[in-house]
Amino acid sequence: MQVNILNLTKNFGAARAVDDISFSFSSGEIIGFVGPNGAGKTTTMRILATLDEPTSGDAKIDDLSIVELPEKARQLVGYVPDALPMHRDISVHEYLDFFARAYGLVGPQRRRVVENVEEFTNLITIREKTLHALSKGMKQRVSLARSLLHDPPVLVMDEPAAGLDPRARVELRELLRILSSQEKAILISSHILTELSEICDGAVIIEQGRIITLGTLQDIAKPEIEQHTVLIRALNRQDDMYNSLLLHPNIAATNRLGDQIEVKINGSEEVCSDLLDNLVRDGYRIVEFKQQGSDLETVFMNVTKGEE
Amino acid sequence: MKSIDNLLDRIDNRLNPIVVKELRQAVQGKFLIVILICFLCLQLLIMGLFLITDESISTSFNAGLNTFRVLQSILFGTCLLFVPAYTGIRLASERADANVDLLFITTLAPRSIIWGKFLAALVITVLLYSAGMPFMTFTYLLRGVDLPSVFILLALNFIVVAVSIQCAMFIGCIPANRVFKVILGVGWFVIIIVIFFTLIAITFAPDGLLHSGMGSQLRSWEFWRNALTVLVGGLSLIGICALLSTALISPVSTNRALPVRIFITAVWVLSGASAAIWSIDVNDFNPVMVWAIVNTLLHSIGLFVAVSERERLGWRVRRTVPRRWVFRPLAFLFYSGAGGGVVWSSLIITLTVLSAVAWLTVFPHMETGDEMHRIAPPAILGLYAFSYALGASLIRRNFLADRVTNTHTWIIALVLLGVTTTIIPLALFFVRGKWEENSLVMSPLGAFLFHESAVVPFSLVVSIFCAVVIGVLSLPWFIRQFSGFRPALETEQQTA
Repeated sequence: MQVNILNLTKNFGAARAVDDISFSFSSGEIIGFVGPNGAGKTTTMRILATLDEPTSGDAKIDDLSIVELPEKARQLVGYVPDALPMHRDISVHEYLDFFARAYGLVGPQRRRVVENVEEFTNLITIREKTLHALSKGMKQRVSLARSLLHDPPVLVMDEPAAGLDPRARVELRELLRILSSQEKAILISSHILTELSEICDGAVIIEQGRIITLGTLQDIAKPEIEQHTVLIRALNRQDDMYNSLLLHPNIAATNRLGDQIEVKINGSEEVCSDLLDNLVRDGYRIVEFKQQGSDLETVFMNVTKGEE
Repeated sequence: MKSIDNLLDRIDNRLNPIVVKELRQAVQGKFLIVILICFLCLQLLIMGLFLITDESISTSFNAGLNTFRVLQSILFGTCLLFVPAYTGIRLASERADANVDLLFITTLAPRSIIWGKFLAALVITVLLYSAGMPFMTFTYLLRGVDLPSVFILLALNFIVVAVSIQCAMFIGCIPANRVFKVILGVGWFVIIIVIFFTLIAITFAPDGLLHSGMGSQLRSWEFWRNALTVLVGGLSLIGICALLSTALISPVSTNRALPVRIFITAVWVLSGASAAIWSIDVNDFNPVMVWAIVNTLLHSIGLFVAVSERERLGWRVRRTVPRRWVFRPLAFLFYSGAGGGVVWSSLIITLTVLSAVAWLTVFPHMETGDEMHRIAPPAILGLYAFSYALGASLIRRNFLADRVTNTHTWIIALVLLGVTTTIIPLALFFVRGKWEENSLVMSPLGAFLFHESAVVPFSLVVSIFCAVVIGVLSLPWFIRQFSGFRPALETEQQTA
């Protein structure tokens, strides 16, 4: 199943929240949707969940337009909003049973589905607890369970990891991996970029309603000019080595980090190899020469301006 | 046993999920249990006190009536106050977070949400009734009240409670901040108190409903006419409030106005027919006059609401616009949209006033005094409402377009009404040094306050002039609105 967001635009009065964005993702993929506050992430996700209507553009799940046929699209999309369930005087099981009824599930099928989802999201032990007595992590799990009741092939999750403790985050990550292996197409927004780096196949970075960059994590982490960041540690003559690196023609920047030197090298990996070769020949006793990968957080900081 | 299980399963599957959820929450919450226990204790206490302390209980022919009076007041007060408040406040708090939003990603329709909550509130009312009715039926044994009176009165109270629940839900659905909602809630509370004491007075006054027992009136046409009017009136109010609530919680992108306008038009026709039958039955113009005033007032408010609707229709509404152009003018009137809404409300007001005039022309014997003169104030109200609404839209579009969104046009209209009703008359008072009725000529209030004076014809002329001028100035806007009312595909083909 392929989800295509096509030239989506959303205006709120004179303000443009989403500005002509297009991207796609498909079954089995987890796509991180990243951007500063007010970038248009939630608006885009609400449009995908059929809660808002775009000013122009469309989103299609295979050939089904969510603008033209929102009723049918709702059957295909599971939405986890950033707000958690707040109903009073209702237990976890009753809450899920209510939404299962609302999705039109009846009789033994409804009971079976609710039990399966409770088991999958590990809610069996707390199913009789009232919602308002739950911790944030538990509520988040209930929210995820609710979105899975009608077994949607597409999951749209808005900040599901916000405010979760490390254990809850790890559990959520595991659940997402399982869901991805079940061929669900998942769009997930988060501010915790290291978290996304670990589970996402690709990312879409958005700012002021426009897409800044998108692609697989490897693609978007690749800079426009080929440049490599390398950490070097030598056992001897560290100051000499630092000074000689400053004079090297292919080195764009150097930075001392304790007993290590961070070096930005312009050029291919062959240039890095030549540099190491030269340093060894010059008599430096190199014990560490480590190439740093450019992570999502670095890319995000590089490509966004931080304006809200 | 298995067949009973199957039957229960089938009923369970057909139940509105909202009813199930609301009732589960109600029985698990403290509020309902506390109210129910207090209510039962109070009734037991009152019944016990009457039986123990009233020495005339074995000889008086009114002992049952006296006991019933207190018990019925408690039941009515409890149901009228607590059930609507409980339902309205819960709905308002749900609207404050994302819960209602979440319901829209299910296959549950917004109307199911509203009717589900309403039904759940009615079940709670029935629960309170079932706790109170044995005590009330017992009062029959104490003499002074007949069983038909008990049941008819409880049915009347039930209708009033049902209307009150739906009104409270409507207030709960209004998208306003907490302060404004509290103000609305206080207003609702005051109205509830007035309704409570009015109904108690109507019921128990010396010449009230229970004066001679209702059982004796069951064979009279007059009783059934009144009962039918209350029933139809109650159901109409419930329907209108339910549809308005549904429209308020529906996504903006949907055709929210369509069911509301169809239902209100049907109610307008039916209530007009009922008023006509009443008028013939009592050989008096008053029922038609009341119908005309109520409808003009409601649709004048409707003009303020309509002008604040969105001016450009979204894709979801446009794709349902009739492709055949002959149906479009009718659809334009009933579909969401400021232009269509203003035309629809104006048309209803015009037809209402013309119907009242026509009624007097057809039945001239009903014109015994100044009836024709009494039609002028609602006409003036309609004309001024039209002028203020469109005037507000003109001001917003031409001077405040970047500061005020069209959803707030009604505020400018209210400011215009406030200026003509208070500021201009006060200014004239200070300039002239004395109060003159003509000061209110630009306000609909003048015609209602001084309906027997010369200010009415003067106000009528001014209001017609204002309506014509503003109508002409707004004509391009109307034309734009109507020409934009096309099916989505057609518009896109033209753009392409």
